[in-house]
Amino acid sequence: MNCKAARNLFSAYLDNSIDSSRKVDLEKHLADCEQCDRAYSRFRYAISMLERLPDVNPPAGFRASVMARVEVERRKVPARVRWWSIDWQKVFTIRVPARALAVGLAVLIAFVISLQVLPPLRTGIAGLFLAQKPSEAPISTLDQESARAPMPWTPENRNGQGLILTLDVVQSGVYCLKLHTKSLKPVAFDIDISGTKYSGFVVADKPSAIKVPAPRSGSVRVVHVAWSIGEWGRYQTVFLPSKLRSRAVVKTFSIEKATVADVLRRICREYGVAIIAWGNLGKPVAYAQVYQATPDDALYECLNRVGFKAYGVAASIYAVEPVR
Amino acid sequence: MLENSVGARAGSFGDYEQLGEDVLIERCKAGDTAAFDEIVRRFEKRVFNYALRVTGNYNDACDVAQEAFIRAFHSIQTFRGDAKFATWIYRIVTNVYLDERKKLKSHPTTSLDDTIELDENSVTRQIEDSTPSPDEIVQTKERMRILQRAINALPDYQRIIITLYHVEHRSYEEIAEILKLPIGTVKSRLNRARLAIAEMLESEPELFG
Repeated sequence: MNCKAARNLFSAYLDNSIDSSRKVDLEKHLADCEQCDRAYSRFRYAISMLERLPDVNPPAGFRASVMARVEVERRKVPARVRWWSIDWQKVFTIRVPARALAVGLAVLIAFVISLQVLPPLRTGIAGLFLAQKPSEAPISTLDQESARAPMPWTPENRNGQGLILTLDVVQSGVYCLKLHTKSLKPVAFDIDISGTKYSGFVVADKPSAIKVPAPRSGSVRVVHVAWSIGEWGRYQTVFLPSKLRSRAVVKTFSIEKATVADVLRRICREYGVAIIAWGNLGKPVAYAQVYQATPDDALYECLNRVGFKAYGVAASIYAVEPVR
Repeated sequence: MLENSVGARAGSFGDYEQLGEDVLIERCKAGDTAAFDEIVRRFEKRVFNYALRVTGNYNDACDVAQEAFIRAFHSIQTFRGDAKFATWIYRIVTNVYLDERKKLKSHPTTSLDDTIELDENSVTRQIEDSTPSPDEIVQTKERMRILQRAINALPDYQRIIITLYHVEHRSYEEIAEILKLPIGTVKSRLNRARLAIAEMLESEPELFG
């Protein structure tokens, strides 16, 4: 047996799946050839090292970001069916029992009537109710110094055809998240506020709004908003502090082994600023040092190297998105 | 006419953790995203680790693993249950990775030094002695970094096979099914990959003496 043939048998020999005659030949070769014998020892050691490679946990929020994308994908409109590709013979031979057809029609009629009769935007959840039209909601009575008019914001603006988010402070301890669009087609949305989910549509001239209670002092409330229009959709996350801080403060802190979401949560809490973000917030941030920095500088320090940018859309309100 | 109709969709969907894989898959096929959420929960660690070892880079692993789950979601209707779900999802991760490689081939972004940062706990778990000294921890971490660099240097298919066999502990038969290769080819590629790793580690005698 030559050296090349011997080395080709290392795996089978190690896994004990070698036939007995070749095993004898290989063992004889290893006894005679010092080089191959050393090579086999190295080989065995390398395999033992491979077996010791540790498991690594996925980043925090990985599953949530997968499911957010799933939600956006789910809402995409299925591919348009061309009339000439339909098997018409099959369509006309589908047998629908008369009773099922009657029940279906009754449900459809009841649904249409309910749309006419029921008041819009019911949630039935105490404390989290949908507000009247945005124009009727009082704005920024909490803190006069931050009362610069909030600007609406949507990722990749596209002339406001997606979901436009605007954040206001309605009264002490209550935020108002306004949802509107310039699109004539409905923009579907799903909102998750601390595990309670809402879904609905907005269309041009028919905005919605949701009141969100501020979190308790020192913590952050995270609101997830998934929306889609046709093939386009986004998943946005809103970080709300217990109270928006009017005066800019400077802070020093460091962040290690975190994700973009962790960073935004921390900056929201430290500075008392609200942040509306989209993109892969599960992306890891290995290390960031914030030294005597304003919120603008802190956001730049922490996000610039991981491909995100931030900009102020109003006093104490920031938008964060991936650099394109 | 379109009104702003909002209905609270929160609430219990049943205890998914108790359900078997085949039931969850049937529910996914029926459009139940909560069932898919449970599938992601069960497989996220395996999928992420596999992606991490084949990409050799934490950020790329996040992207590949996420994209793999999205592809799985889209094609769950085509999963017939002939193979195990794990085999199917490994095949998807492999395809996503190879597709990404094809796209990036002209602009490679992964440097050999851009290897996985392991957190200290995951390394200390690997050490048999329950009280390793700081030097031992540093040395183990360094060994793992060099080992990952050696894996990164392998050709794609060898890297995939070595990861499936040694990290994911898949059998030859399963690897053959995942990669749609004859078992003989899997065995010979695994042997070549192992020999290559052993040779690369030889150049680090102070760590792998």
